[in-house]
Amino acid sequence: MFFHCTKYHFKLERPQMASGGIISASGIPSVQILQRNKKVLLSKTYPHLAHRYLDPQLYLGRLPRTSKAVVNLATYPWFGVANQPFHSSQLTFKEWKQANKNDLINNWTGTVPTNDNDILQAVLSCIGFQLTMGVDGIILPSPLTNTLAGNYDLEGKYLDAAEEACKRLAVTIPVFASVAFSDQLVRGTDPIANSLLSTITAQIAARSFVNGAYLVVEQPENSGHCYNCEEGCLSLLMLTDDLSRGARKTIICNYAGTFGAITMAAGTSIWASGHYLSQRRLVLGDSDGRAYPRFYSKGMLGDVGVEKNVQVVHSGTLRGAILDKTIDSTPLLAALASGSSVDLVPAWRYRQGNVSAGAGHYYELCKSIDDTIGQYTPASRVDAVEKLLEHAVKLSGSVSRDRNIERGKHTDIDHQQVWLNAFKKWRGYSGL
Amino acid sequence: MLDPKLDLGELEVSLENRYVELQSLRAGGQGVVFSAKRTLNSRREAVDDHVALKIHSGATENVRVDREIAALHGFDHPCLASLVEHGTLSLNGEQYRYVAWRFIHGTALDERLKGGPISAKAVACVGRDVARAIDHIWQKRIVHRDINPKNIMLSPREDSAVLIDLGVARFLDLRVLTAAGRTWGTPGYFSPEQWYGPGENLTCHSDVFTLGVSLQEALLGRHPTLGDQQTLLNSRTPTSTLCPTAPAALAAIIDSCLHPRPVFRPMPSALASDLARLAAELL
Repeated sequence: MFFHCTKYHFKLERPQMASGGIISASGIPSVQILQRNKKVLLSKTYPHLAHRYLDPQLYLGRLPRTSKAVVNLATYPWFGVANQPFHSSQLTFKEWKQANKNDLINNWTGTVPTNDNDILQAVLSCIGFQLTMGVDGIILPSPLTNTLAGNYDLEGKYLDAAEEACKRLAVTIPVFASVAFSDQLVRGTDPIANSLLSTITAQIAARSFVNGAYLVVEQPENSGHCYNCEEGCLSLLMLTDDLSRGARKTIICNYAGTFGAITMAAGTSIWASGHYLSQRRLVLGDSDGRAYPRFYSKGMLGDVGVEKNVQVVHSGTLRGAILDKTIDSTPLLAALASGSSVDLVPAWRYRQGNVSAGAGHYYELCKSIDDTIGQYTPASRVDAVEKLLEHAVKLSGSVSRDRNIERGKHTDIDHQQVWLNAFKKWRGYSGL
Repeated sequence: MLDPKLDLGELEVSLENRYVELQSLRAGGQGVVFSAKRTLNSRREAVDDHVALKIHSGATENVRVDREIAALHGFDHPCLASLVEHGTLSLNGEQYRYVAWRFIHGTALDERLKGGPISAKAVACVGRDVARAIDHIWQKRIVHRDINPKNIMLSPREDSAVLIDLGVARFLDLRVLTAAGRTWGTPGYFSPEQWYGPGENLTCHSDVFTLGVSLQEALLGRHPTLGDQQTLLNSRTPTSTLCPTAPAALAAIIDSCLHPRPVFRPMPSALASDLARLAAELL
């Protein structure tokens, strides 16, 4: 199922495109999330959030004070920063945030709890908050796994604290262990021989109170819109397969763009993404900004640059295979067909902040990819996804060879082969 | 080193007559195990219970003894040895640690297997009870790490079993103990992650693997690879091939315990349930 990776903007133009949402703590202050968490808003303004999860993002707990995300994160009790109470009768959210900003930043420790009692308190507050939100399942807090030396001991302590907390709070909804790891731990290594991955899966599999795992890979700053680290992609597939097929856990994958949909072949139940760069990847210190429009291609499993390359592709023989027709792209494709240019279609004009049409187009295609892969039985899904990837490689290769295509103009043509390589290696590993 | 042929009367005195009627049960590298009656005081009054008393070999065993004591403390489960008490005794000028646990009537599975394999039903009963014990210790995040027929006591009727010897058990929050660069345990029974990995962060699934090897051995009456660890991990011979007369359901359960990837092995609680059901069905 495709879920919206939700930051500050909860609203979707066509909420039926997402089956639910995973709200990131870094995107919105805690007091505001609770204000929006009202029945009337959820049913009328954000109906897709009838099914919602909260990513508590404790894995961002070691961010420096200079990071923009700190202000929002510090409003959540599991980060241990004292907050001024919010009274809607006295201040607006903006005023409250402005008045507290310096305190929130100054009191940010840039660490995560490490002793047993502090861990338990953090976990209790985190689970309690999510229960108040009425989420579909609890995403447990966990620090970022970014060193092999830690040997997953601290993460294990968080899991055991969560078991105790779930008992105390009488949790009856599904519980998901956060697996947030840095791609530095797998990049340049053979994931199949990486003992950290087997430690992670073993530790989660051996805790029966955990119903599933929430997988997130922290990526380097120079990552683009499509995750293109073969070892990282393979690691995600292996973790998904081991935990779903082996340990029979439910898997949620976030911050991997449409590679999340690819992991459905390995057993992912829910994958989440969004149109903005910060919704398609997890880079420490990423913050939401004003973006340019992007044109996603389902066939190519990547974007085609709007400023020039969409027009180039449209003039070639592969336009039908690459330029998908959606509610939002129809006016653009019609204009191009009549000899007009992208710049003359206001909804797609290449300028900062003009992303509504591109976002709507992306969400419709995310749903379409989800439907396409979801229609297969688990047994036939693996072959079907490999064919999708081979098709994407073929199309991206054709685009790449087109002399008129401008390289580096927001056209994603490099990751497809990486995804296919990772997928084939995973098939070899899993025997599927 | 403790002399297994030591004078029992002298030993009773060293134990301040707190343990009487000592009978040697077995001796090994780690020490000597006696059957004994525990008294309430040094006047040998009011013998109140029957214990297995293990006198450990010497100072080199201290870490192991401490672990076993820590592991056994607080456990009260019919499938696990119950700690009665522990202490230190002085014998011929040497200090020895001892641990007493409630006596388990029966035979160590390795001794029993010298007389041939046990029935499929008995195998299912052993698996059920050891899986329950694994589940129980895992709730405290303890991994036994040395499950093998020597550490499984089989009841005289061969319908129940008790897991003993948590001397190399590992608490998840402690660093692993190694001796001469190897992981504690018994070669021929190591799980792949115990054998190839750093030996840290093992889970209950590692104990499930070693239980699987022990169950194959119980079905066959001999170790499936005659104790060869490498062959055990490389060959992965199905139980039905090793023992064609084994009930298919039992063979399938044992094979699931021996999956090379830990997450594909059953959780001990589920394993215990499956084996309990099977034990009830088998004649």
